Amino acid sequence: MTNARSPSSPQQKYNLRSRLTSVLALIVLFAGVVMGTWIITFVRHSEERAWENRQQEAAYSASLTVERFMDQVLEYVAVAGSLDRTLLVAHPQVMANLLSQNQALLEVIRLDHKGAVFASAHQGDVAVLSNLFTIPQSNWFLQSLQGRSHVGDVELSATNEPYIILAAPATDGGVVAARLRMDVLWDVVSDIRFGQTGQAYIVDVHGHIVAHADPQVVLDNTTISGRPEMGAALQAPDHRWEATYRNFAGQKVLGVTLPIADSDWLIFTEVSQAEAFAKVNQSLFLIGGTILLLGTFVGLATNLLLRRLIFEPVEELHDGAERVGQGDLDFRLQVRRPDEIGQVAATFNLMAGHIKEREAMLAQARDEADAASRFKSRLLANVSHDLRTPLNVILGYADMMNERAFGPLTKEQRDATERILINTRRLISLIGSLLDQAQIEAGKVELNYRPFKPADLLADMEKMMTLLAQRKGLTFTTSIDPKLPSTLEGDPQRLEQILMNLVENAIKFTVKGSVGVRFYLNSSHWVMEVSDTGPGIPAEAQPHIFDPFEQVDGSLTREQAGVGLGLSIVQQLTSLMRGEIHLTSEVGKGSTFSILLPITPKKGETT
Amino acid sequence: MNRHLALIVEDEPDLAEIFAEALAEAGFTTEVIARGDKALARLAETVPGIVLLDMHLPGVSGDKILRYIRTDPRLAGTRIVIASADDALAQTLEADADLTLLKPVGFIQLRDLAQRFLSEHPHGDR
Repeated sequence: MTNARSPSSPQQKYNLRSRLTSVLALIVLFAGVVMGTWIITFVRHSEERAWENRQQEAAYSASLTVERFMDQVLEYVAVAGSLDRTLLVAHPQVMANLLSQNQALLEVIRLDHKGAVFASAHQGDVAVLSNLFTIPQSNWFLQSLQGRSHVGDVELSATNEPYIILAAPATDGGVVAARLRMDVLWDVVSDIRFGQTGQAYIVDVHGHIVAHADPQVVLDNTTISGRPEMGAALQAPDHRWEATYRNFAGQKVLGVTLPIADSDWLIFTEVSQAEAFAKVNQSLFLIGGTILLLGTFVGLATNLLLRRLIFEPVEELHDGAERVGQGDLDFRLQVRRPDEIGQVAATFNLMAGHIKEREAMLAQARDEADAASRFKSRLLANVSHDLRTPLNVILGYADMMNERAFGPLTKEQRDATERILINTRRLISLIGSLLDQAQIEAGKVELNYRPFKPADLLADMEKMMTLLAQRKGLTFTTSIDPKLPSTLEGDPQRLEQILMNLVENAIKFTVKGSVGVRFYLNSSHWVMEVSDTGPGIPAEAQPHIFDPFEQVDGSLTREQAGVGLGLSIVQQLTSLMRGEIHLTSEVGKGSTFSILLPITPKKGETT
Repeated sequence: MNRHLALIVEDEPDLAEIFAEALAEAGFTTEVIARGDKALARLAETVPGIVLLDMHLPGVSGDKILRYIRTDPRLAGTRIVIASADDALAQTLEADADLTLLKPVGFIQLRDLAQRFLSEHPHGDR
C-alpha cells in the first residue's frame, strides 16, 4: 500500500477514506435496520390482522355450517317430538321413515314423562337408547323434562361408532331423544379449509374436542385444558378470542375462535404461524437484502465520491506540496475547481510563490553574508600581512640590539630590548591566532600529514618553554611513554601549535607549583597531556572555555592577557585531526588537558 | 657558483637590512634586490649560494622567481629560503623551497639557519 515516494501520508489518507466509508455504511445500515424493523413490525401486524379476518370469516362460515347442520338435525328431532303418540304407537314405521330421511341420526325414541319408551327407530347400528334402563335418572331426560333441550358428550357405541345424545321436550309433555352420528359432523369440520394449513375443530365448553378432521383426536378424548394459553378461549366473553399459541398438537399457530349459536360449542380455526407469517419472513429477507445492497451501494458510492471529490485532489495537493517541499519552487498546482480544495490549491500556489520569493531573498542574503565573510577573511589576511612586516622590523632590530650588533648594551638598555622583544612576540602570536581562527572558520586550514618524531616535538617545545616557566618560578617537567612509537604520522606544525597553546596557557595561569607535559599511549590513541597546579576551571565554566573569545571569568576585565582564541584554536585543530580533547579540573588544585589523537590518522583530511 | 653570495629579494628596506645583517654575520656576501624583475635579471648573470625570497614583490612575484630558479639547471645548487607573511601561499610552495620561514623572521633565527647552510655540504654539485 505504502510506496517509497512518501512514507506516511498515503497510509493516513487511506485510513481516513476507509473510516469515512465505514462510518457512512454503518449509518446507512443503522437507518436500514431501524426502518426495516419498523416495516416488518407493520407488515407483521397487518398480516396478523389479515389472517385473523380470514380466519374469522372461515370460523364464521364454519360455525354457520355447523349451526345449520345442527338446526337441521334438531328440527328433525323437534318433528319427531311433535308426532302424536297414538299415531306412533299405531304405526311404528312412521318413526322409521322419519329416521331414514336423515343419515346423521342413528336412533330416535319417544318417551313419556316417566321415561318409558313408546316409539323408537334406529338405523345401521344397534339400538342404544331404547335399551337403556337408566333413562329416568339420565341427565338428558331430566333436563328435557324441565323444558330444556340437551346436547350430550361424545360417546362410543358397542361397534365403536361415536355419537352424541340429543334430547328435547316433546309436545305431549314427554321427551324426544336421538343419537347423532358424530362422524357426519367431523366430515363437516374437515371440509373447512383455508390457506395451506388452515383447519377448524369444535370444542365444548369444558375443553373437550368434539369434532376434528382427524377422528382419532376426538376418540382419544383430547382436551385443550392442558394448554393454558388455549384455555383462555373458554373464558373469553362470548367465546370470541384470537391469539398466537402452541396448540394441543404442539404446532405454533395463529388461532381464532367463535361460538356456535344455540350450543355449548365453540369453533377453533387455526393456521400455522409459518404460513401466517410467510410474507413477513419474505419481507424480512427482502428488506434485509435491500439494506445490504443499499449499504454496499452507499459504501461504494461514497468511496468513489470521496475519492473523486476529496482524496484525489488531496493527493494532488500532497504531491504538489512534496514537490515544492523538495525544492521545485516553480511547481504550481492546477486550480480546476472553485470549492474548498480549489481554494487550498490556490492558497498553496500563493504560498509556494512566497516561498520562492523568500528563498530568493535568503539566497541573496546568504550571498551577501558569504561575500562579507570572504571580505572579512581577506581583510584579516591582508591586515595581518601588513602588520607582520613592521613587527618583523621591530623584532629584527630588537634582536640585533640584543646581539650587540650596535655595540654593547647597559643592563637597562638590555632590559628594555628584552621587553620590546617579549611584547613584540606576544603581538605576533596574537596576530597569528586571529589569522588561524579566521582560516579555520573559513575552512581554509589544510593539514600536512607526514612522519614525525614525537620526541623531537616535545624537545622543541621544552626548549622554548623552559625559560618562560623558570621566569615564573614554576617547575617544568616533560616525560614520554617508552611504548609510544618513535615515529608517528601527523602535522607536526599544527601539533606544536596545539601543544604550545596549552603549555603557554598553563604557564600563564599558574602562579606557583608546576607545569608538566606528558606524551603517552592509551588503548586507541596517543595522548599529549598538559597539567598544571593553577587556579583550576570551575565546572560551570568548563563547557564554554573552548568557545572563541572566552576566558574563565568571561568579563571585560581580564586578569591575563590574550583574546581567548588559544583554546578555541586548539579544539578546532584537534577535531580537524579527528582527535578528542578532555579536560579535568578542580578549582584551587589545577587543570589537566589531554589531547587524544588517532595513532594512524586518515590522510589528506581537509575541511 | 658563488657559494658565499646571498641574494636577498625583499621590497621592505628595513627588513632587507635586518636579513642582510643576519646573513652577513653568518658569513655571506649579501646583495639586496627590491624588485622581482630585477631579481630575475640578476639571477641570469650570477649563481648565488642562497636566495632569500619574499613572496609579495613589485615587478615579478616571488612564486614565479621560485619556479624560474627550479627550472634553470644552472641554478640547481642554489638554496632557496622563502620568507613570507602569507603562510597559505608559503605552504603551497614549501615543497619547492629548501626552507620556508613565516614572517616575522627573527635576526638570530635567520643568522643561525644561514650558518648551518654554510657549514653543510653544498647541495650536490649538479
